[in-house]
Amino acid sequence: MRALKRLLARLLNFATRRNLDERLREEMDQHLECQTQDNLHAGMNPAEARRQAILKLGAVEAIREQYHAEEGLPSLENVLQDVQYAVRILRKSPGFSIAAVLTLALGVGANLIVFLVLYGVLFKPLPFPKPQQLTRIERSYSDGTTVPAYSGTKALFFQRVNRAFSSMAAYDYIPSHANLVQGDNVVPISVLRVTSGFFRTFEMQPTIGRDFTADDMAPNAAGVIVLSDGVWRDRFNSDPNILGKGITLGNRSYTIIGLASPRFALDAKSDAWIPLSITESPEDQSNNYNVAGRMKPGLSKAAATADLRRVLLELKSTYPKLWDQSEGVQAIDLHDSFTGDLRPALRILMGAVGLVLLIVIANILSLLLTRAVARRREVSVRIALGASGWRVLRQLLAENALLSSAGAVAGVFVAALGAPALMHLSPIDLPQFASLHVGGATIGLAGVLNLICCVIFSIVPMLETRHTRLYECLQLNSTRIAAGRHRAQRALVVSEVAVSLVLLMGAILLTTTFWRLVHTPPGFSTQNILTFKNSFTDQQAATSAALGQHLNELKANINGVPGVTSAGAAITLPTQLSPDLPFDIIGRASKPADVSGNAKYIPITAGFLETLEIPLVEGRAFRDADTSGSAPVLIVNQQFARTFFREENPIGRHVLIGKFMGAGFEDPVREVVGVVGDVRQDGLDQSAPGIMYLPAAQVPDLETRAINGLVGESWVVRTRSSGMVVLPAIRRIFMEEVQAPLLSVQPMSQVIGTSVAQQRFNMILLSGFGLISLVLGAAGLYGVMSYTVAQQTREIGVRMALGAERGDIARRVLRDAGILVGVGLAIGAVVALAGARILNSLLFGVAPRDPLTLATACGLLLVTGLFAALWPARRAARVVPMEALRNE
Amino acid sequence: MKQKKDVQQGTLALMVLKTLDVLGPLHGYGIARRIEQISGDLLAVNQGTLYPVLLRLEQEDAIASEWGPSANNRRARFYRLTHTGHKMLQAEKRDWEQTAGIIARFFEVRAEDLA
Repeated sequence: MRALKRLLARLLNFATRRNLDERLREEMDQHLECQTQDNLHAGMNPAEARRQAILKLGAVEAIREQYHAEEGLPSLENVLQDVQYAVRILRKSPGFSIAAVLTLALGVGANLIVFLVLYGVLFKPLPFPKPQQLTRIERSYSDGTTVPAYSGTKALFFQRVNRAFSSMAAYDYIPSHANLVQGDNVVPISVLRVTSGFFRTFEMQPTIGRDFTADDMAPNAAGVIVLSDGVWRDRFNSDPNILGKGITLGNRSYTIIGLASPRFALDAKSDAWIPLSITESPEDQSNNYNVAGRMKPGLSKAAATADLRRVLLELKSTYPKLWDQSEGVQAIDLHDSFTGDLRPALRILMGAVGLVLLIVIANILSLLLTRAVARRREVSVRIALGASGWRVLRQLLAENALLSSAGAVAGVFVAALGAPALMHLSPIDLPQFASLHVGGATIGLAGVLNLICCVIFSIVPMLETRHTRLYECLQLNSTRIAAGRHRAQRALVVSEVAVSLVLLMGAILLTTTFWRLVHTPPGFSTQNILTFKNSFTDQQAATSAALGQHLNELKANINGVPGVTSAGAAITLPTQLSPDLPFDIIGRASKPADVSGNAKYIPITAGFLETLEIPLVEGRAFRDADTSGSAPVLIVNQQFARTFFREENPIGRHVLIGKFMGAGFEDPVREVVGVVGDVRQDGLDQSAPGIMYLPAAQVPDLETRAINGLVGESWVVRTRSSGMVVLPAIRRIFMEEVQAPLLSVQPMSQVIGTSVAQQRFNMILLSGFGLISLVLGAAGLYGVMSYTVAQQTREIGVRMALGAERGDIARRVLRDAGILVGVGLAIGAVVALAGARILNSLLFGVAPRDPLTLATACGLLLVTGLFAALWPARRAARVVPMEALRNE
Repeated sequence: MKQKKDVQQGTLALMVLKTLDVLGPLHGYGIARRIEQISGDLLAVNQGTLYPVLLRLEQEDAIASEWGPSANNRRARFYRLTHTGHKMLQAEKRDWEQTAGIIARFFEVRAEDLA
């Protein structure tokens, strides 16, 4: 009770800042006067009376301290005082403070940004309810490969027979393009075809309206569509009475039955969803669909996989032709399936940015050590004046806390500014990525980093106060010769150099990778080529003959535009996704699998290969005359010829494509009429696959319709100068002839650029980290060398007085720096070579232990290091002996 | 050493309370002189330490203070015992007597008494 009352009184004093000093002073004055009076009465002379009174009263300052301690909240006040003092100290040496805060801001900021990316990709759950229940179903093979694509029949069979999933849905592998017709306006949108229960599976029921039902999937059902929130806002002005209205895609009408939740998105963006009209058929071999399922509550992925295996066994008896002995099945986490291929790169980025933080901390520690030695006399004086070790330590801790907090706050700002730029740069396209921003979690992490830094920085002053020996420090020139003391600093510089080397080597390897990639001959020309896509209505692409007619007419008109040299079309562009189909070489004994192999399947028009300048090696190219009416022909590339014909000449041989793909996909036997050069169809970092090119007009009708619905047609147009000049004329041609807008208009160089976006991202980030580490390493070395020179001024003076040349002195300093860098490089090289393998998966055209890279990184660091040591060396050489010796 | 100071401070507080109880309102110097007269060396030097004790007692509501005219016609702070202070004095006095009794008995004990 008493304690509580006192606390209240103290709190009140503290809060109101009531100052009782005045009262104490007055009381003590009064006290002194009374005592002096009494002393005078006792017969002392006035001076002695006053002196005795003062003596009797005691140490005024101590009393005031005590009084003060009773008055308010001493610990809190002391902390405030510590902080005030720390602010004053840090402001007194702005160079140090700014350098430290900036360094920290850089380190913390970089870490926060990478954390944000990492969190967005790896940890932030998918924006669906109970995301841990969502799985993707994949085919798995004994050699460890997995393929997520399934045929419609298998997808429906899984849906029907499984017992482990509460809901399952199949959907297009990639969204298809469609033209939304609104009056005279035609807008391209992307549409995903999905089975019934699609929205239920993700538990993202449309905000208005309903999910698709099994009836919607019937082949002759009325067309229904669910719109995305974005399209509803942009194209329908957020019309609240949208349900039941009709819209036109191409030449088909749909009734709007629902609006998807604004939060709903998968790994590829879709503007609308329509039902997938698939039915089970015993010969369906096409693998065009993703299958996602929501497991029943409490079920593990292993249990779900076991159930799917059972389903496969049932498939064997129901559809024996679809069953494949080597094909297994597995349910994997949907989140993992979205992010799987990003993980290795992100893990390395995380490691790299951690190293950057290490360098930052080492740098600041080194600065602090320098300062600590310089401040030893101050600390000693304070201890000599009666400050306790704890009190001094607390003061130094306050400084560190202030410093690292300022760094962390600045780091948050760096992250807030840098993160959007980086997100923009990153090729990552994930549903949970859109809503990333610097928020609570990031600031929390900044707090944690701040705490870690603070603790590490505090090691220095702790050692400092423990080792401080008063008599040593108060001696005037004790700080001049302090050889053993900066062993710690030198160790820090060595480790900084080592870590920098690791980072630099990684940065150079990734830069080389990127350089090699963009300088890899892709097998086709990328200069002055304009690309775009379009999609035809189902009517226009009803038969291959009709489509071929349209393609030829469009091509002829494009060729007529001034500035255009040639044009052609294909179902896909180089470096973009393309289908693989099985084929059989006629007249050759079939292997047990009934096919000779798999190869890329690319229907093209005449002019496509010529426009891309893919060289014709043998035989002839396609002509406009290769139509549905003429003899079926085929062109293969050299890789195909090498793999499947070896020494034989493929020209004149016959090939049957897609033998078991089901009715309607049956291809005629084709004669190989030409061999062309190889193209890196799967991306610049992949070797050129075997490719079969065939005339678009000769494709089976059903396949033409499927391709048109799925991917449309991709065009390449070679122009004399910039492609943008001819674009308006081409747009007009497409609107007039097929009423279709152009999609994804971009130069070929940009298509290539997109295909190496991930590598560019890796390169930029790691190069940034490498640069930061280089600068910080150099700054650290500069600091240590300058400090050493300053410490040795006297020694240098003595040496010079004894006859040392200026050059000798400078060389000594440089040699000293060289030794530090050399040791760091040696350690770094060992670490870099040992850890190089983890980079393997990210590299292309360069070995992880590339000696040239190592040498470059070492050379760069050595030069930077010596450069940093140059100023201290010059300063050392300019020491004037007499001044140095006099200057105590 | 710190402990000893605490004991001194505690006893000093008790002395202040008792002095005010016996003599009525006094200013700081008056209290110091009375205690010096009675206790001798305890407050012969460092009389200033009295003032933090006074402040603490006041914050505990044991005493109250106000400005008043002193003998030399100057302003002085006069302290008087409050009701709470009176009760506190009684309690402290009991505690002290009890403790003193126990300690006294302890010092009188001889080895054969414990046998």
